[in-house]
Amino acid sequence: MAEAPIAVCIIAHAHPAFTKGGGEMAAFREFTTLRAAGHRAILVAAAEMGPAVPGGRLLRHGPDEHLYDPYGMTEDRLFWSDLAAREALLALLVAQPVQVFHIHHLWRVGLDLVAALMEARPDARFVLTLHEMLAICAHHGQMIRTRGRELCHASAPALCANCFPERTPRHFALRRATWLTLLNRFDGAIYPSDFLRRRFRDWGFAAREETVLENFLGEELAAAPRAPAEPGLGQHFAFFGQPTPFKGLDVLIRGFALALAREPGLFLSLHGCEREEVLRLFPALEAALEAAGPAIFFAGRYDAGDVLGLMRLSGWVVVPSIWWENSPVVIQEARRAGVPLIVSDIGGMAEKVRPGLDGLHFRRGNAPDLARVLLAAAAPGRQEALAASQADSIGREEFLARLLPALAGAAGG
Amino acid sequence: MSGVYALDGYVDTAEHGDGVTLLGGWVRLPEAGLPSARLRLTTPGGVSQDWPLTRLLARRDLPAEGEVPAGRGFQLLVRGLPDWTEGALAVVHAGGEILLHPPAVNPAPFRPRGHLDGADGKEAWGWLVHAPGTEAVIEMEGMGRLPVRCDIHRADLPFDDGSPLPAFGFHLHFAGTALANGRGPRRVALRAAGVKLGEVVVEGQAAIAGAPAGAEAGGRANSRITGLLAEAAPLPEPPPAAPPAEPPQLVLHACRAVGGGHLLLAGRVEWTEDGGEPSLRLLPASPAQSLVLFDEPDELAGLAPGRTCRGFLLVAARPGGTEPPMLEWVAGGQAGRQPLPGEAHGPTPDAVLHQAGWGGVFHLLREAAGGGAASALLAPQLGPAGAFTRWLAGVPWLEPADFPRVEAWAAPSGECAMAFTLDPAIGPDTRLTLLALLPEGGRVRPLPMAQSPALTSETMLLAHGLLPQLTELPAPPFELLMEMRHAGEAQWFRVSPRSLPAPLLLAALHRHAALPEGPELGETLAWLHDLLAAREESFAAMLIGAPPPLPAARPLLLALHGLDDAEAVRLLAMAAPAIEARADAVLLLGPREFTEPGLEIFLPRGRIAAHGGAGLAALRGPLRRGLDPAGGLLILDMLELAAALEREEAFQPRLPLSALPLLEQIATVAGLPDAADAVARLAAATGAGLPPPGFGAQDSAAARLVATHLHGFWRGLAPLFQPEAADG
Repeated sequence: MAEAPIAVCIIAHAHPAFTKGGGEMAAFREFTTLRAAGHRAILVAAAEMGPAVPGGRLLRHGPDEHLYDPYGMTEDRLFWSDLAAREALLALLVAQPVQVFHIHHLWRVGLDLVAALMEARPDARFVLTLHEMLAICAHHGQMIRTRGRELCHASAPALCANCFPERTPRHFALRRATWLTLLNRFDGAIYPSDFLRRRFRDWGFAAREETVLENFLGEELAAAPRAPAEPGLGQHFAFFGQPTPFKGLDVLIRGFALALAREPGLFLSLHGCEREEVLRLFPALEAALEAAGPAIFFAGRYDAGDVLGLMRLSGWVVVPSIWWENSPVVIQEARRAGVPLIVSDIGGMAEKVRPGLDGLHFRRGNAPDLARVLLAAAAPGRQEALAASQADSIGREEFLARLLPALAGAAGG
Repeated sequence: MSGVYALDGYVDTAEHGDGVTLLGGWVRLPEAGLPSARLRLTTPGGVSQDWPLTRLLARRDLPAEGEVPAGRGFQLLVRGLPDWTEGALAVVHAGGEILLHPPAVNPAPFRPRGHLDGADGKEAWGWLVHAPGTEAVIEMEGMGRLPVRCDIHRADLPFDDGSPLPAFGFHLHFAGTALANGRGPRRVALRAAGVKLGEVVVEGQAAIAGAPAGAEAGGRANSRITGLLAEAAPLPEPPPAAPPAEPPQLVLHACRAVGGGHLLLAGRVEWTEDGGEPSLRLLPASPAQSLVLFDEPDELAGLAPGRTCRGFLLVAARPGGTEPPMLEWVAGGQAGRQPLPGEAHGPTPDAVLHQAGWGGVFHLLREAAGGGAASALLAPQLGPAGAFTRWLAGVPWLEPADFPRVEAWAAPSGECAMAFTLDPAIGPDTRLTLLALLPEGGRVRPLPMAQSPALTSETMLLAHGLLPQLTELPAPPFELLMEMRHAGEAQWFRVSPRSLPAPLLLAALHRHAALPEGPELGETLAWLHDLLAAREESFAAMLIGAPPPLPAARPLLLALHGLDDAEAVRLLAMAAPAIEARADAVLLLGPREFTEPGLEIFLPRGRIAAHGGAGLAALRGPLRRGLDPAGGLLILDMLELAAALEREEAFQPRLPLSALPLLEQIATVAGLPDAADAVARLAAATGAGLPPPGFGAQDSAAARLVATHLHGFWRGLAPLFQPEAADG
């Protein structure tokens, strides 16, 4: 903790009272953790609050907690089209008695808003947490090709235009210049993973101050005791997450079906999704699901507060995403829960799960390789061994000890 | 790029003998040099003498071209020079010396020149340039000789002898001679130094005040005097047994006062067919007149065998002086005079033109467009196009149905092009004459088009024209009036050409040439090559000017191009503070959908001046709105801007702000009507930007030729924008 309390205005693209994405959760947990540590933290977050109002809408949501609606933004939510709404929000932000503005995401915040705020508050420091790669990739920042699900390893205007044939390479060069022009004005950047930091460096952005700092899971989860693994769960695998095209559920179900054919005692529970949703997204999986029968269990939605307990009902948490996953919360939660992980061997997943210590890797998108790893994981004693060596998620003290210098400007390189 | 005018002056007459020297030619001399101009002759033998040039007359064939002054002609007769066989001529003036071409002149023997304009029972008149020591006489056949004494100053003659009112005209009275007593027809001839210079058959007492048909005197037709220097050659001897011709007749339909103290005369001349053309003029002689002749097929059909006729339209300044004005005509070797019937005789001027032969009116309009005496007919009180208004309204608009296919284009560079796909029956002999009609403050200003030879095939005609008198670009949109002659017939049309940028107009031409009915490729390329060379010379002469001054560091105008994407506007929003810290004004160039949001960024902030637009007119904004032209200009593409800001570079002017008007002109001639395109090309040409934009696909040799020609303008004229290069 820094010697003197600091005053920080945290600007977030969303509020967890409305949605529970990783970015807004991280912003909100920073807000509450700083306040709990005696610092002045003010949260200004975007939230859809009823019908759109010309000129925008600002709402005090709680002490030092404000909401704004992002309806007045352009379709891609990167700039403001309703300048009155932007000016109203700007006025609110400019008036905040803080030394630091910490921005989580520029999506739904607005590059132009931040540029205007920088001009209006030249006395303040500006720090940005880059949770994702939207600056680099127009495909939702995922760096995955639009046609097929091929990974993209580096952006280039010609490659980007190949993904978006209706746009020119020049468009993407201008897009990069736009982002860089603003990013270069920040005093510091925080990356939840070194993978992200390297991607931005490869892209051409080197912040004046860089900090790699894992998201904090929050006081409640951090305070939960880390229980030892339940015995006999080595053949029980679990998935936590939404059924999206990039989460790799199809790879997991195919891989699990292959492994099940070899080892009938295996069991897979899927949390956060229903069978119908999965089949809507991947109709071809029906045969595999039929073959697996009761060995695959759809557990449906779950409450975020229950996640540690749910994870501990399984021996392994599988993260089979076919995209990079910059810094998945599920991995942090599994490490907090003490449940070893089986993850794709790319991006933030590969970085956060040390193979042989925190879990196991399989070849991204490769169901047979996943089956091989599932069978290896199911071997007697394997799960217990890795559970014992698995690292915990970042704790509150360490988080603050690294966050405060990043905000205050003493983080160094 | 080479200039058009390699010569500033030329000697076309050098004669010496019998104690006189005649030196003639032309010189392009600045207006300021006129009062002090002197002609200097230097010979290897040590002679160096000069004489004042007080009669430097404008030559319509040598008009001013932009900065290049008009050519002026001289014909100087000097006396008393020692014999010389070689010499150099120059025109010296207060501002310097202009050497005339060729650099070494070898004089021919002097020969007299002159003309017997007319004779009747009482007098003979004409002009003569001869050596004073030689014999000059009027010979009256069988009656004797009278010495000619030149004592009349004639303003219509170009000759000069250094005196304030050079006298080369004569008017001899036969009082006391047998000829004056009217005894029978006589031949009257002008002879000098043994050379017959003119002859008139006098048939009896003059009936000058009689009916129009009374053509009493004949004579050799002189050139029309409309500003060009005219020179008469010695008259060949007439055939010995030529039967006397039936006298010519003149019918004067109208004599009307028009603007500027001018008269319009219209009528018809009938004479015995001799293969020649009639000439007419007002007396006392007017310094300039416009005369057009035209066919009168209906009248011709009613004439006796061997007789012919031509309609005429004549515009000339109303003669001054106390003598009653007369109309003199010469046709079929005979001349006549007729006093004018007053200035309100016949139909009104617009009705005269409406009723006259269209070929005559068309060419009279060309005379008017060229600044001849006929321009008096354009007086605004007579209508938007002066007295031509009514006639123009009756000229049909060209419709595609008139030909299998017609295309007409015009460019802001003052060019036009036409492509006709012709009926094979019309054939390849078609000739096209173009005249531009420019709207100008509610009036119509006709301008002649300088036309390159047309490219023709059996069934296609491609024509290109240029407004040679243009001094400012872009030219306003204009209509075309055309005369199309083929198979001995003529048609007249108006057409409203489709507006195209100059590169697309050239592309349209060569793409039409490539159609199956077009000429073969080699012919097309040769034609195109010549056309482009002429085009380059014409425009280069207009565009080349003094090198610009070194730009000051401030004020600095940042011209941003490549503003062609919404993302570029976003970049601008992010970069605005950095731009404001480095430049005093910004010029945003691109489509309106992007420049307007760009201006929305800068204008509300109010920290620097912001201008923008898409068309070439956008280049005028900064200077028109008060930016000091002594400042500098920096041109950057939006991506170059981003790179410069990333490197945290300061902005340095690369070009003078005063070059912006020239840039607009070059873009009009060799670019697109797109200011962003223009600055991008300029940046490339001056080595400061990305590679230049192309001119579309080069899918043929003709397309490559045109693209090379257009790129050549930018490369060739780039030094004009760079003071360093210009100084070097």
